[in-house]
Amino acid sequence: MGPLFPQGLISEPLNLLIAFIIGIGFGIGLEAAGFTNTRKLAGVFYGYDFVVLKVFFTAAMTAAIGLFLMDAYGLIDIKLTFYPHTYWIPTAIAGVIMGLGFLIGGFCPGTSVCAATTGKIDAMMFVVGVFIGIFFYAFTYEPLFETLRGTGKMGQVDIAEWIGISDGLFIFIVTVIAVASFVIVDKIQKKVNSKGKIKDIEELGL
Amino acid sequence: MKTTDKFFIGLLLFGAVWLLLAPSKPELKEIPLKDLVQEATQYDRYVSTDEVAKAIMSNDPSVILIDVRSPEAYKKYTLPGAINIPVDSILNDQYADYVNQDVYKTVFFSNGSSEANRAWSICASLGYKNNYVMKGGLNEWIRTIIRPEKPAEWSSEGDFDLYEFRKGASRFFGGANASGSAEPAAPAPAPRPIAHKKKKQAAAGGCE
Repeated sequence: MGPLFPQGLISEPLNLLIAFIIGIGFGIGLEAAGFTNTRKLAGVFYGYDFVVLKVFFTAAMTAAIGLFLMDAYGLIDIKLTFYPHTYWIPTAIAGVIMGLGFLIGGFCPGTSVCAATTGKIDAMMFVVGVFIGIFFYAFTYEPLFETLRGTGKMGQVDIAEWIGISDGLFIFIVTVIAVASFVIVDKIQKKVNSKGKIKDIEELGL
Repeated sequence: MKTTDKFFIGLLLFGAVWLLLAPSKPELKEIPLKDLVQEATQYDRYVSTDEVAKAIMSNDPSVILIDVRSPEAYKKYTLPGAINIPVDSILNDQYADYVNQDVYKTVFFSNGSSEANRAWSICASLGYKNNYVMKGGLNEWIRTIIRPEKPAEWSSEGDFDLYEFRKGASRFFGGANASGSAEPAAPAPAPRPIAHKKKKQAAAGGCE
């Protein structure tokens, strides 16, 4: 919970309660937007549905703009928010694994839990797989992963600082990139879908 | 692209441009080490109501309680054994032996903490030592000592020990646990004799 909890402004039970409420809202949002459907996530890869990309890019930019505006007007101190140290090699590898997981399973860790609660059996298996992965990593951390975990250390960096521009300019550039990507993926989507509509699950008789 | 899409994209771009034009915050300067040390050591200024209660109950001769509120408020209610030095006369010569000495531990208190903090700051700025502030003042005193609240069932053993102590203290001070309402404490006894010591050549020019 951002600057509130680490600075001792709210108690731990309250922190957990807020997290619980936000979690419920997030789950409802995911389900309502149809993200528990595996085809939505896989659609980004196949090019017939870019809603996931649009939603998360918009969410990230909204959060970034909102937080830094509040910082600019003194409502929060962005330096008190938490962000982890960067280790680029393990992050890149994990990104590839996660992307493959998205593509093959059709869920991200969050949507898999949502989908499992709506009764999708593949999502339940996905969640089981997530836990197997977690335990595998935890119990083989020392022999297998400890060295890898520490490679590519860059410390606590943010990109704007790293390339030497202001946070405002950086966020503006990324926003422009986001808008441009929305336009481009819209074109791709139209092109892909004009080749023949992907059949609904019901039509496939599965 | 739908109209709503265009609207939200416009909103996003508007926010980004706004952020770009937003006034940049003044660069915060590094705090000089001297101030940092002073800031850090100020945590020593507070004593808790529990510590004060212990001192009163055990008749600790090394502790002097100083009520910095007005004489009227002092007459209505104060801590047992406390003497009254209103904050605006804290530097009067007649009280110098209380606030500027190195034998006793003096504890300032007021209703909240702010008046006592003011008294403490005045004394600290003159370099007077051995002064403390009762954290939370009399409000905290009533809340913790006179009418202690039972800790929740899942609280730690330490919390229960503290509660037991406070219940005992409450009885000692005639609080809610004994009679149902906080009674004014006995009128303050005569101030303890003070070891007069040679006055320091402090604060030339005087702040009286």
